[in-house]
Amino acid sequence: MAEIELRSVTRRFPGVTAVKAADFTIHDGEFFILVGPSGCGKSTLLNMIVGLDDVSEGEIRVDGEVVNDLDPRERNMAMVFQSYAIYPHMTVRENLAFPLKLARLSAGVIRERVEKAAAILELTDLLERKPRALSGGQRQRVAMGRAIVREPRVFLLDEPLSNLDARLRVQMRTEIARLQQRLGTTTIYVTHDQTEALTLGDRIAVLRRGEVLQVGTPRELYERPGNLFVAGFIGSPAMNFLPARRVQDGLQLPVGKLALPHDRYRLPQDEAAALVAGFRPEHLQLLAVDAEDGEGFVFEVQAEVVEWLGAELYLYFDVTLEGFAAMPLPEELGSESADSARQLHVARVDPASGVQQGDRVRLRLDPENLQLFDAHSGANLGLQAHAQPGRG
Amino acid sequence: MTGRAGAEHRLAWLLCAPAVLAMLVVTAYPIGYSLWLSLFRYDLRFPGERRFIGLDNYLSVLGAPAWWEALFNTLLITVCSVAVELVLGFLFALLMHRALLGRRVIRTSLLVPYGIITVVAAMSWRFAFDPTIGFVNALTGLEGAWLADRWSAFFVIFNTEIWKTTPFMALLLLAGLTQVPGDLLRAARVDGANAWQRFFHVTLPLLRPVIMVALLFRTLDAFRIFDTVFVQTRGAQGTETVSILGYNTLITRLNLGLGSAVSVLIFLCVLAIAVLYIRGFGIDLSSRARS
Amino acid sequence: MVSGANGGQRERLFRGLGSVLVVLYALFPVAWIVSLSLKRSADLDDRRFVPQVFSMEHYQSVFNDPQFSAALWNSVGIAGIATVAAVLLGMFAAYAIVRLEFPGRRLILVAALAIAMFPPVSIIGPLFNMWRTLGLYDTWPGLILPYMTFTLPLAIWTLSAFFREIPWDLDKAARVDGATPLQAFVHVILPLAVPGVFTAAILVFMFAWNDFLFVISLTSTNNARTVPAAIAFFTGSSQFQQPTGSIAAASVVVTVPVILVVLLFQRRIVAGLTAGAVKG
Repeated sequence: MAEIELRSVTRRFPGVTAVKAADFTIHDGEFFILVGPSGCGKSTLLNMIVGLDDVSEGEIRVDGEVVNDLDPRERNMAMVFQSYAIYPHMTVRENLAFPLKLARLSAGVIRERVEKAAAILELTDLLERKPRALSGGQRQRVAMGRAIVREPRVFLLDEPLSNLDARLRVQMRTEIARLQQRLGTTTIYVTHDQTEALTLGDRIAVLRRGEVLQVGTPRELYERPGNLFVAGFIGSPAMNFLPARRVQDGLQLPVGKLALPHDRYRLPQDEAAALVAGFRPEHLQLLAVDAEDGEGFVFEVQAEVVEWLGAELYLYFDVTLEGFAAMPLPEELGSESADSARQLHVARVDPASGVQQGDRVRLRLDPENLQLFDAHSGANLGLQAHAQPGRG
Repeated sequence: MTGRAGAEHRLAWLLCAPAVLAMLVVTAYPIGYSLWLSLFRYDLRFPGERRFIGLDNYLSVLGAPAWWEALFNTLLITVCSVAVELVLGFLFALLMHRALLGRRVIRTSLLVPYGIITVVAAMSWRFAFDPTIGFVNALTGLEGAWLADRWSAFFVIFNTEIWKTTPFMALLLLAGLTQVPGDLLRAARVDGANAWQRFFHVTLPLLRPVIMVALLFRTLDAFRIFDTVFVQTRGAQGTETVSILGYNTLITRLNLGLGSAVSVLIFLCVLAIAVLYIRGFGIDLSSRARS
Repeated sequence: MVSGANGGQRERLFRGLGSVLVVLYALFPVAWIVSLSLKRSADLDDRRFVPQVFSMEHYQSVFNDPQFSAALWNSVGIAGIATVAAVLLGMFAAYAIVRLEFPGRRLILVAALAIAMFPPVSIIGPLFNMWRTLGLYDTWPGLILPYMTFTLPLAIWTLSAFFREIPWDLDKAARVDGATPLQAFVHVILPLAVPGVFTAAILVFMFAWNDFLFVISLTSTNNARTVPAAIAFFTGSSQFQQPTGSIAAASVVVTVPVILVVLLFQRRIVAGLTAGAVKG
């Protein structure tokens, strides 16, 4: 059990700063996620916490004690590597026993702990096998077993599921969640997959290019993203973004105009400032052919592609950006098409609606679910948005 | 540079120091010493007459027909044997590549010429071509003493060298062949290429780096040929190579001054060949040096 | 590669024939020298490939010859010590090169390469003079040192290639598990490095076993003369007869270990040879 505090932790390499002034606290017993696209610094941060990498600036404190200069072996933390890193020349039992042998525990204690861990992870039948005789999922459990035998104060997991196939990944995800619940150890988990982050994490830190953009619970990040990147990164399918500009009686979007309640947003001084409107696919409602427009923002689109998945239906529609400047979206979110004048967007609608490709339909959006961002800084202009990136 | 990086540097140098020292002491210093000696008239049989003569030794060597003949011989052997080895090596490699059964037997067999002592191989082939005891004359019905005449002696030397070193070439090429992605060849087949075309347009270009490295090492090895020639002819009958010339001058005739000049010239030749390969053919050795 | 639709029967015949030819090619001179060693002295000039009558007389004379036994002992000792030294030093250097970040890393590899390309004949002169002055002429260390130098590049390149294959995550995992760098090295890295070290040792030993130029330049008596020199300068029992039989027998005696090693470790040797050249 441990509380981990990061104060302005920075990691510099010649020519590039991998982590910029990371500042947040991980509470005792928490399942904390570090998520972000590749190259964002999350693995570097993890390595600094465990001691495999140096801290250029700042402090890492565990239960109040500064650990910057401590070797990994002195920090009492256990790590599960992306490649599992289980010793190929040792049996599963020897792998699990290795850290305990190094700690000079008695043979009896070692045997007891190894067998307990093996039981938890269902490895008991595999104890005498060597790694090359194990499947990917089994090796992963051995890696986790090696971590839990030590009964450390912190678990660190570096993308432990990324080498598994899709089905196994989902299965292991719930296993890990249950394991952490049961053991109650502070856990730091690195992933690039936002689904894993949302499902596993008590709290999440979103990183991009070395910066911690926002720290919060999954719900906070989903409902009140602090900036464009977090908004576009969290949630699948990703949030739809459209350029917007202020007009006399509200906000003009390529698909139509809607009224802007002034007390919901802190708009920039410059009236002509470029803005980005965002709304999630699941917040769009499909109006029946004969239904009235009703309350809310309604616009008409043509269904370019329809994906029906049984329990869900995704409707893809084009939006022509005539008259609007192109939006500078963060490149890690992936740009939809090479043609910047048209963009493909998605709505998630009722699977029973029977929409066909080519249909012209009307979509409704409740303005409560509209997010507004400053196009240049990316900051969320909503007043309820979590305006404190990096704190927590 | 943080404390840990500094300690890492120190540890690294500590670990490398013995090896680097061993490599330098026995090469850098002697070659420097060689350069120095070459500027003197220094015959160990008359040590008292040692004196500085500048570049005169080099002029003597470069003006001696023996040097040019030796150089010619060496280049002849180098070019011919490397060329034949390449072709033969490729044949063997292709054979081993496609053979499913017996690959182990073939590989083991080919390692024997590689592992056998050069002197032993030279002796074996010398005996084979000997007019009195050898089977070659018996088989071919010829009479002459192969090693008594310049060109037939070359043939014997040639034969021995190729026999001994082709396996190494074949093994390197085989390793390269196994790395050619099967998908590329299959795609070429679908695109309509026949076996020849696949070889020339897909396999060969992909093998280029391996071939260049193999050629570089083999050329340098061939240029330094000594054992075979020494055992079979001692360099007589006009088969002297530059290494034999160097040895004879230095150790047999104990003329350190002249011999050192020959040594330095040989060194420069080797350097030239290496530079030619690296610059001329663009072998990227530094990428091998990167981790 | 599956032959499948191309050639089938005829192609397999071709390949079978080719394989036989290759094996013959490789073992032919070995068979010849074995045959010579088993011929009676009188039959040596019968020019037959296979001996009419088998005789072990040459082997007896060779084993009774003190010169040869001395040469054998010198060879084994000198090559052995040089191998241990080269592999040990090479191992440390290779570990540093692959595992640690430091300036000059590339330089060392390039320098090693340069030495591998070096013409030994260029230094026999200075070494001859130096060794005479230092008292190392005609001694074991006098040969061990140049052997070490010239095999270090081979050792370093081979070991580097093998070490690069070891997943270094294991080292990190061991450190997180509580091991000191030394413990991590001994318990995790070393067991995985052993095959590479073994292969490097084989290659280095073969190189040292085979050398001729340094031996004849830097030695003159049985003190340090190794087998290649002994065979080349064999005087044999009789002054008048060329000691063909003895030479043949001696050659076979030193080739048998080579064949054994190759037979047992062919996979490793090939892996080691190609590791530096191809995987680089």
